[in-house]
Amino acid sequence: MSDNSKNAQNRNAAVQNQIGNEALPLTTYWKDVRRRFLKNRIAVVGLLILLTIIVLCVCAPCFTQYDPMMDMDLMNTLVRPFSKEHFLGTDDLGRDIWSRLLYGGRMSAMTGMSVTLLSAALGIVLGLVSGYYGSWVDALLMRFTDIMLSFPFLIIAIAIMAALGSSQGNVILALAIVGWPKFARLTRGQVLAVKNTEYVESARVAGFKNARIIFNHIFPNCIGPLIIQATLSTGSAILSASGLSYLGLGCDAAAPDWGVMLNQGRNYLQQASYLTTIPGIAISLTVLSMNWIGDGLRDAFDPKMRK
Amino acid sequence: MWTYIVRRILQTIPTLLISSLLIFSLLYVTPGDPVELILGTEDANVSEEQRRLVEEQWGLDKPFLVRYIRFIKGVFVGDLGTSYATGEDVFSSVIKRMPNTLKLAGSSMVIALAVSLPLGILAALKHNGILDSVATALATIGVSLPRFWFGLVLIIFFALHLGWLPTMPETTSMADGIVPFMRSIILPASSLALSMAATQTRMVRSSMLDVLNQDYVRYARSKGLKERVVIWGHALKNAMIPVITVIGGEIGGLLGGAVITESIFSWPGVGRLTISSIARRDYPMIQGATLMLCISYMLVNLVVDVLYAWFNPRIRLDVK
Repeated sequence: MSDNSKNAQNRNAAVQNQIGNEALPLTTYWKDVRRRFLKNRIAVVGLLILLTIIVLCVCAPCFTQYDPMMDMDLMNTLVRPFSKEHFLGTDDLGRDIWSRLLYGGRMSAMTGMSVTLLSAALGIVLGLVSGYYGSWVDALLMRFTDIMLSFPFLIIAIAIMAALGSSQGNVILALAIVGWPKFARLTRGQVLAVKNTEYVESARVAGFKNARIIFNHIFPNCIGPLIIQATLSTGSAILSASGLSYLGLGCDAAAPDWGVMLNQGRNYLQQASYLTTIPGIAISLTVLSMNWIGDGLRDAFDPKMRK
Repeated sequence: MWTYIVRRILQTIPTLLISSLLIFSLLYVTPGDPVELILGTEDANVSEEQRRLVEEQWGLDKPFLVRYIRFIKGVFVGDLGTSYATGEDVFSSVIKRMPNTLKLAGSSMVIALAVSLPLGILAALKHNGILDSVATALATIGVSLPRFWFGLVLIIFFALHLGWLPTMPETTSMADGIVPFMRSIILPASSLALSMAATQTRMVRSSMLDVLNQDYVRYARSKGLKERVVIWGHALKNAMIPVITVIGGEIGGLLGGAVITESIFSWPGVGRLTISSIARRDYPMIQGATLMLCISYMLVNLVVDVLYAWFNPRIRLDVK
């Protein structure tokens, strides 16, 4: 309701701002999206949590004096959390958990974002091509996408990791291979929706090359849903990557990574359950804030969808 | 109806072929010498004679395509080769463990539905109320927790801290008594059910909200029907249609998630077999287990789609 009255106000304001016959727009699409997003309290909380996590991880050396891998203190293994020297205690090799958590966040963020970038790049290009050209190109690409979508993705990712061996790069590759079809489907749907609009038609009449029409005229109109999908995909990539690491199929076992930390903790469920709970809470908080942001973006981009 | 079923089965075939090709070629290009794995001699010198013998016996000397075709043929006659590590028949070891995986996936689906249906319906009925906010918040949290971590927390709390339930399954068969079976399966099934319950709650809620705003519900209300009759007789059935579609996709997720859940809870299913085979680099077993998981995933989706078309004639008439 308040949205409508605001819009009405804006319209009135726009009328007052007329100079001659030209109206000065008071609000752009992106300003509108930002305003709606910032009004969503849960989404803003999610954004704040995520920003805090990012600052902590990026500036990790400012917040801890321990090295996450080298500073082993075999005299002080399994120190409980909230001790004087170690804020969150130490692990089975006497490494500071707080510092491993901060540096591990870098790994997880890196994995999540790389997976999303890779799968989005591949999926978007295929989706644009498929939607724009149609006919047999579309049929072929979408059939292939459907087949990829109907794989149980975690099982395929596990098989890929078994073949490639464990390393962060391989995790990113494996998850990108199973991740791109969603982007392709989404992009294609968006392309089909705007393909026959007048402005695309006029671009074609103006004699623009296909590549230019696709990237300058069609792609910008697909961006909203893609941003939402990217947010959610980053969260789920972090979840899957931690699962693979937990199985010993993810990052290098010495690396500070949240999944690897969980894997180490499973031998100490009885004596030191905090080895398991702490990294899990970190993963959950990160993914939760991303999901909140994603939901907020969805409402912000498409107010009609809100229930 | 029959044309729909036939078409749907035909659609499954390329998917199966591509997934089998993917799995087979992935493990084909994997570095590592299978002969050494079979003989169990990592660095000892293998004589040429020995090598040729082993390669011949295991068919490793054949070109890629020949081996792939043999692999595919094997799927139909139940011959997926022999394990490098134990010498067991791959097909029968996988089949032996498959019921355990299906039991786990089935139980977690029951748990997920038992939680999400009431929660989602109540949230929709009390739209914008406290219960609605709580259900929505729980659903978002449920999707965000790593399933396997939730499983570990369940173990820490219920098995180690309270000591109510075993950390390892006591039995995987109902024949050993219903109580030990329930005690064994409740933790793994709940941890596996988490994200499905969360997505389903959201789905049920939004689908129910949709239906409650439809004209036929308004008509039923204005006719003076009791609220209970309106909800159970008119709204619920229609609200379930989109929910059922989502269930199909979710079951696949359960089979994939079972791989990790089984490893945590030492549940002797196909997933745990896969992971332990990966550790032993037992490639025929990895191939066989992942392929069988893919096949069961696709069969489940096939059955769900057919059932869905059965109950909702619009589907089978639509897809021409």
